[in-house]
Amino acid sequence: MKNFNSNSTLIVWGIIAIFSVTFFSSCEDQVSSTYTYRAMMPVYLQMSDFRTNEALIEPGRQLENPGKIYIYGDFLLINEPQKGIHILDNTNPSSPISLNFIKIPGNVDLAVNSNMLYADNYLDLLVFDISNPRAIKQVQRVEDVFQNMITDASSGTFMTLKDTVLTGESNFMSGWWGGNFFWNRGGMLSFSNDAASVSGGESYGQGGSMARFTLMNAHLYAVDDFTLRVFDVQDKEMPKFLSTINLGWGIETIFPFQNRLFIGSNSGMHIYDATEPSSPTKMSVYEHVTACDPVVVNEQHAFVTLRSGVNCRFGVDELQVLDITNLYQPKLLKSYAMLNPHGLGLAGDVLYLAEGKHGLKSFNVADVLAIDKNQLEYLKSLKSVDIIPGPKSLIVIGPDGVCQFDYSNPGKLIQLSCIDVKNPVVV
Amino acid sequence: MSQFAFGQKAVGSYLHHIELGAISGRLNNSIRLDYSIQSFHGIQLDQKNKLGFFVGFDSYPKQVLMPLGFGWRSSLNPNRRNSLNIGLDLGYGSSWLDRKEIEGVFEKWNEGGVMLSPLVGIVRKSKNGTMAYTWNLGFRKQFASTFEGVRSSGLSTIEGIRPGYDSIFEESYVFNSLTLRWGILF
Repeated sequence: MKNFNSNSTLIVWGIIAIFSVTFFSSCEDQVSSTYTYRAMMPVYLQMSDFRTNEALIEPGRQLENPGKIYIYGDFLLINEPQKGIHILDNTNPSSPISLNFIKIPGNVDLAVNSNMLYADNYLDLLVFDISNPRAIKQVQRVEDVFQNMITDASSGTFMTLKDTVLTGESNFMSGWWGGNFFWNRGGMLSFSNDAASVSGGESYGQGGSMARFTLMNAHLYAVDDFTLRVFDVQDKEMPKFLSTINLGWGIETIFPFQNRLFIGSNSGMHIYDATEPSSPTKMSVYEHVTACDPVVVNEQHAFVTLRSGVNCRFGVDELQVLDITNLYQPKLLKSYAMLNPHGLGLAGDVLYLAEGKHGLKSFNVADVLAIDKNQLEYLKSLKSVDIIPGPKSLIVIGPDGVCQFDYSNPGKLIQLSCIDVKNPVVV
Repeated sequence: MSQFAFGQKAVGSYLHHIELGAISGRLNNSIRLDYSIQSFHGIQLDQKNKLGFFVGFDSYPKQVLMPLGFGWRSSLNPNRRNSLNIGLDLGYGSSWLDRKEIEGVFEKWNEGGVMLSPLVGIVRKSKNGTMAYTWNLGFRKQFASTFEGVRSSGLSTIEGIRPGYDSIFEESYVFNSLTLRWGILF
């Protein structure tokens, strides 16, 4: 009995020994490590490539990633950043119909002036006759007016940036160099943080260089990251490039109001006098902490939202009301704490404020010193990033799509329709 | 000799098996060595077989997983004082213990996965027969992953990356480990 026990113990230890040797030599872990990140990748294009053909007019298609929205009569023009412009028949805001898609590579913004649609196409400005939105014609191409991209005239190439997903793979566990119970975490942290800094583009729906258009007094004003470009469009089919004005870094929005241009940037709000439309002059800059800040304006007040976020570091989340009766000296009247305010829309005395993932708020702003006491509605479930008060409906751009609301009763929004998007915005 | 000599549990009785030991494997061309703890609760199905569930802690580089699942143990020669034991644990290594770390837009979290572990060992019953000591050697296959992401804000999603993130660092593992554990069965 005892013998047998010792024998079986021996056998067991024998098996254990064989197992140990086998496994220690072959127990290799399998690791597949994937680093996926989005980055702006330089792409070199031939100028002749995008200039040879007129922009293609294609049948309407699904919105992928809506950028700027422009209301033009019964039609909605929705930019698809870097790709082109959707035209929708919005005669009935309860059921907008997708009509056409104008394929314009490199397009980021648009503006419409007396049946003429102005849109950028990499380096060029295109003009379309949209008097009949069902039969759009390209009428003009103004070349080399957006030369913020790196261009090489001799070879006819230019560089643009493309929002790209890059992937790196490895079969090693990162940050682990053997040993036991201990591992190095710092290495990975810095790796990931580097990635955060390569992803560019802050504003909603943007990818690559930003251009923002606005029209006032037969002049087209386009702002990109740090410049304001002025075009004379009095001959509406033949825009003339006039001048470039440097603004400083981080320009986000441009809002025209009564011969003035209000330009929102990361560091403040610039006010330009455009009484002489061809040469806007700087009136003042209202500086604030670095934050992302859409602007809307009425006769006396400017409403600016500041928010925190990935590319709006050190930001605060608030709505600021400025007194702009003296445009040379805008004064901060009051700040109201908000959750994460994005875009704004002002319709008369009602201010609609997109709170990102926190919903949408509306306020009566007749008394600017008591806005917090005059909240009309707070729709927590209506995630939103931007708001456009249109003549027929209030257009709300949110992560799930472009929705329209009846706002004839400003305190009570009634949903009319929603256009789904393929790549929803993250808020 | 009676059928239940040396503390052999009566069929249908409850038993508890606590084990602790080491878990080891080869990773990045070097040896990893960590701890492994397991608690098995089961019943004696018949003279040879035990069936039950287990819960434990296995430490791996970057994460500690909590394996949960069902286990089977079989004694090949239950009437001997030292008996050869084989078994199989099948379950899920859960990462419930690890909280998602959030620092601003940076997020870090772990996910567990399926766990499979055949084992072989010896059970040596105590002299008075109330308990037994065990030495188990097992092979343990554990699927798991770790993620580190930078949340995006204000950008629309783009195909090819998890929605809501500007960057994702994902590592998925199949840990092929050897476990060596000492335990008490009572």
